[in-house]
Amino acid sequence: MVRPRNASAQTRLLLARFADQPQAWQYGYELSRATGIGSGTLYPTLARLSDQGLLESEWRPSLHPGRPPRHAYRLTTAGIEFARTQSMKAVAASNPRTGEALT
Amino acid sequence: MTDLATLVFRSAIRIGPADRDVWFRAMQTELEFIPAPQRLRFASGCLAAALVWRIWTPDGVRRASQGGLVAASASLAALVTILTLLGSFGPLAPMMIGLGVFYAAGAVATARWGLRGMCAFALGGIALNTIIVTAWTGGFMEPSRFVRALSVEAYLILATFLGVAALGRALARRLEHGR
Repeated sequence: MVRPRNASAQTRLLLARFADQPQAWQYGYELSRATGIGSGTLYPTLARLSDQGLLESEWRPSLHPGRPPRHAYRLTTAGIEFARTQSMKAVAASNPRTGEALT
Repeated sequence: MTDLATLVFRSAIRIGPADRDVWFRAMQTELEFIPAPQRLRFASGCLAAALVWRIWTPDGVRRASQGGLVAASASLAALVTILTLLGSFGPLAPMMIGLGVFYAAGAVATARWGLRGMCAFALGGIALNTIIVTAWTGGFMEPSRFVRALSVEAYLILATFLGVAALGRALARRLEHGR
């Protein structure tokens, strides 16, 4: 497992989306639509988060009959913690005074 | 499924590394859930991801840097040789042929010994250039303005080659340690 570093803006956006519903499984296309991140960035980011142990994935049956199972994603416990840390860092960076108060 | 998006996606699978197979299967499944007008954009992104995964590895970075440097050095050798054969350099033709051979040697060294070979070649070239410039300033001979310009150009080219090779090696090492 690779030690996670500071996340890029797009990774933070993705983490925030996952952190909004930490228990929900989410799909690639929906994530792309919700965050505006194209598939060329989305999948390498998902793969990296998965390699770092921050994201878990599984094949889940499609809700549409006759369609194949879809690869779904959600944050692991470490991922939720990492998302929280990144969110706090982002807040601290955008408002140093608030950031000091948070930490 | 023979539309353009599918063709682009198949290229992505061919290019992408085998250890990312599960991700390509995930993308392929998602492609079936995407409305037709957006499929090509999604598939193009998958192709970009495949290229990133293929190149953004220690070996991929080394190979890409090495290939780029071999191509650049060989192109310079070919350009100098062709212009010399066309008579563009007049009495300086023997020196220019020598320069062509020099860059060809750089291409061969890089192809044979990789980025380490290019670093050695560039450092050797910079040292050689410095010896020649020192000889001029010591009164050995008075070079023409063209030769002086050529010497400055050689410094820039060799420094660029050295920089790219060093950057490629450093990046590859960083990727290795980051795994």
